[in-house]
Amino acid sequence: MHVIDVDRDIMEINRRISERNQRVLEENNVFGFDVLGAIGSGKTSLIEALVGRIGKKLGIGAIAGDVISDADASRLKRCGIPVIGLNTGRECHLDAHLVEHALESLPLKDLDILFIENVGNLICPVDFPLGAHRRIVVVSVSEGDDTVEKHPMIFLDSDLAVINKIDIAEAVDASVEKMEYDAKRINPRLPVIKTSMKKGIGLNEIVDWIRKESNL
Amino acid sequence: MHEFSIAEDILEVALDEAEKHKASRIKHISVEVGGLMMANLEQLDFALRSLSVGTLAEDMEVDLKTVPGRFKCDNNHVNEVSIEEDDLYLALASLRCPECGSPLRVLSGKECVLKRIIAE
Repeated sequence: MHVIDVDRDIMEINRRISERNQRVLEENNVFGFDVLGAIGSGKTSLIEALVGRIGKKLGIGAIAGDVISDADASRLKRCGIPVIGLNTGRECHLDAHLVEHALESLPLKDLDILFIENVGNLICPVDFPLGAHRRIVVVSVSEGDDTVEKHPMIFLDSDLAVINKIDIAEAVDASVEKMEYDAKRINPRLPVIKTSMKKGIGLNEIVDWIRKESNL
Repeated sequence: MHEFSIAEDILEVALDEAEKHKASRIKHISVEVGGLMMANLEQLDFALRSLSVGTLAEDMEVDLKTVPGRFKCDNNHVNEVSIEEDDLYLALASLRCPECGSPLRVLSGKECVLKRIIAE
């Protein structure tokens, strides 16, 4: 009979790889943004819109995570940026190990900014840092205006909250003000930007935030 | 279902340790799960049992325990606050330092520690 005192933090495995990923980005002068959010909240649309606005001045690349399919990766490739699509198979989140391999396949030397779009999910990705420097969480009014209060951890752990589809808030009976209030209540440090990717509302503010955070 | 990926990592470390000690069977593992992890213990238990079938850890006893999350105030007025798991999610939304009312930062509670293995 062996009693083995292991005392090892399992989450440390992912955390260590994520720190290594961040070092790889920094060695290549790339600033990384995680893009998290529910299914259909507008994560891919946000990246597309940002490429449209700053893609000519800055080198942008993306990693697009999906459970199955290359739909998001294909959309982003059509923007003319280097994209690695990651299929997680049965997993509901990306992990640092998957991202590590994707980084090997990206032309990091040509990039200034890397967006890592996670699988659509407001819960599971929270515990798995990937190596990006900042986290953006995207929610939309069509998920219901109680979405923010139901998922406090992701708002506590993010650096920017984007509330999308504000142009259809009335039609889906959602209060944008409530969503913003909830985000600020959970995390008073969190900047909140209200957007409509479709109509181009709020995107300049996001560009300003991205440039300020990345110093680019 | 990220409990499965956490369970996979726990099991991998446990099996490695068992192998290092030339054990032929893992009888028991104990794991401490931080109260701020977005993990459900029942699902984690199920995932560990499912993934261990056909390994040295099949039919092991699984002891999962939650460790409360800890926070620290911005102004260092108050130092740490412990919250029990049941109240955590309700408390998070309005969590402030009891002394100065400033927001709190997470100190710990996002760990998942494989504490001990009993093997033979």
